[in-house]
Amino acid sequence: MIPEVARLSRRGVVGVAAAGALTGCSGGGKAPAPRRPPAPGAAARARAAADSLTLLRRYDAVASAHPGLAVRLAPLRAEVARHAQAFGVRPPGAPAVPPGSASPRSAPPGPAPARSASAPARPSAPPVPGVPAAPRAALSWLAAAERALADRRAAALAAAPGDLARLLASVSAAGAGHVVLLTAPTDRTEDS
Amino acid sequence: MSSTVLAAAQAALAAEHAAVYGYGAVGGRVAASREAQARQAYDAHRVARDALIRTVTDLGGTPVAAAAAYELPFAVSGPAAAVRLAAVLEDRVAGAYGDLVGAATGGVRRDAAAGLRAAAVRAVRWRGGSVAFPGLAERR
Repeated sequence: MIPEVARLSRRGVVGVAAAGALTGCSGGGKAPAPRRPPAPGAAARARAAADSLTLLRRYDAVASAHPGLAVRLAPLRAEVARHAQAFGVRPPGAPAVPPGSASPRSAPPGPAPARSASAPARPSAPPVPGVPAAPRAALSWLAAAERALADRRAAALAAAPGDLARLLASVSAAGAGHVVLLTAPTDRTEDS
Repeated sequence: MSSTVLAAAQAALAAEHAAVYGYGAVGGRVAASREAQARQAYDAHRVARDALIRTVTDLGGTPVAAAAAYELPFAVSGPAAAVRLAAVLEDRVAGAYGDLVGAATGGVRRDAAAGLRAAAVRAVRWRGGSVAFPGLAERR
């Protein structure tokens, strides 16, 4: 799959999360505070956040490669972004809408703070290799990623503190729901 | 600690009792094209209910009994309302399982997480859409 990209990004986020956990007690501007045992579940939470960001990049990669899927993917992507937030990282906004789609820079998903819009221009996200060329296959590719992550979270919650376990269970369940939506026939919008 | 687990397991069992009852109303009103879906969900909730009865017993409790009848949150007047009710039933079950995940450890937690996941998937199938945090009422 994409071990290199995933590993690098995960490390980066773990670093950010760990730094965030320390800012409350460090004086700032000095040498890094001495290491101390992280809060229970901190590593699992950071891992979960990194996983959500990796998944988010996959959504963006598919929407970029297949503009026709962007509208269908938008609500799911927004939920994945909320998951990342719940695990303690601020997710990047949705990328520029590919040409041919309506409303460039559409409303940001979820309650993202407005300053994200004025943040320094991000270098374009690292490319995500492996997006299938056919839209249907691309959806299956996303569904497989969602399913694998949902399973991993279901396993990880066993060792987590109660609150984090509950959150992991919910996000895992949401991912399983995404699998259903990603693999459903396109004209399935039954309401009754 | 274990009294918290027991209370959460009892709450999940109560939610499953209510779901079994509620799906009776769903099954009677749902469109023919979704009868099989309603039947599968009904069966799944019966299985889950029985599993929770064992869990509560294992935890040293006396399993709560089903009520003779439950007040439905709204009148199930037709197929659309039946679908909405099914989704609400799944939401409630999911919430109870979420609380049990937080309270329990080990196999009880694992089973509760599986119950939450199954309920969330059924809710997605009923609604044709998802929510970001199934089972977490405070994050809706």
